[in-house]
Amino acid sequence: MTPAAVTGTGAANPASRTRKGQIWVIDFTVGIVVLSIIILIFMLMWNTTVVRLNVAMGQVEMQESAFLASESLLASPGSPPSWELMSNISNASAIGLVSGRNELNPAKLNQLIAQNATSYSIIKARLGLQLYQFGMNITNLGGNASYYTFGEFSNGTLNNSITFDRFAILNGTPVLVQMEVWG
Amino acid sequence: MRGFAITLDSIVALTFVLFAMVIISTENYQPTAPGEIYLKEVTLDALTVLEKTGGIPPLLNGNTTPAYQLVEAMPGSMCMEVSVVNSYGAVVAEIAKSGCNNSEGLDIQTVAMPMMYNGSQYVVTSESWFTEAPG
Repeated sequence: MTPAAVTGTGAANPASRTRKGQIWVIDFTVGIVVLSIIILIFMLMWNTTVVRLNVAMGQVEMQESAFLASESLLASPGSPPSWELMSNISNASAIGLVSGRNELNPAKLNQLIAQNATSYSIIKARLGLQLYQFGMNITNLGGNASYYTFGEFSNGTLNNSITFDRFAILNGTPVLVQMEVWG
Repeated sequence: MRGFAITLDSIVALTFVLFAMVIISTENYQPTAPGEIYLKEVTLDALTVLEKTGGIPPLLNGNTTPAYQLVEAMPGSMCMEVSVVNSYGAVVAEIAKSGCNNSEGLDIQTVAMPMMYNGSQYVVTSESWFTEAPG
């Protein structure tokens, strides 16, 4: 190997290394930018997704609470069974409206309606609906004559509302019990 | 070549994750009554009410009005059919909610109950289904 050859080779290599280094830096920068954009999109979408999932889970819980409340009202007399005779409704541990399955007891209904203004929150809590609003309307089968109304209704203003229609008997006649849980 | 394969693999994986997140984030949640359990309870309600209000004997005598009023009051998306079968297995009375003639291929909730009328045994069966998938 001659000194000239060494000098010649040495003159070509630094230029090649510089170009290779520049390509690597550009590749690295582009990679970082693309990765940053992906991470940013991912973070934004992750937040939205978490919020959506929380809403969905909340609504599933509302559905279950609403269904259990309707069962409590139409399948049990409450606890104690004569809770309607108590002077303070907060001493009742469960609220039910029937004497036998689906047989509405007018005395329990009257007491529930009478307590609407003063003990709405307590009644909701006894039904497991303390996180929501609750309305109940007892009508004839055609839905055009209302016999008893309790609680509050959203009147269709909210998407976050669930309605249940159940059948029951009031004074020997079939009636429709319409319930709405919302909020 | 190995770097290219890894890059392609990561792009495909990220695309799937982003696609799933787009679907979740654009989903519109509307609460509905819990489908099958609710249907079962309403079916049981209907049969209980029909039995306790004396709506079945008229059905055997050809008066379908009490039972028909009840099945017609079923919530909009629900269908119901009530039938009474005698001890020989013959259907002696049958009514269905109007517009609910076809339950083929749908999930059906059934509640049955025995009864005695004029010294004969019968089984009252009520079948319910959704006209469309709930929620």
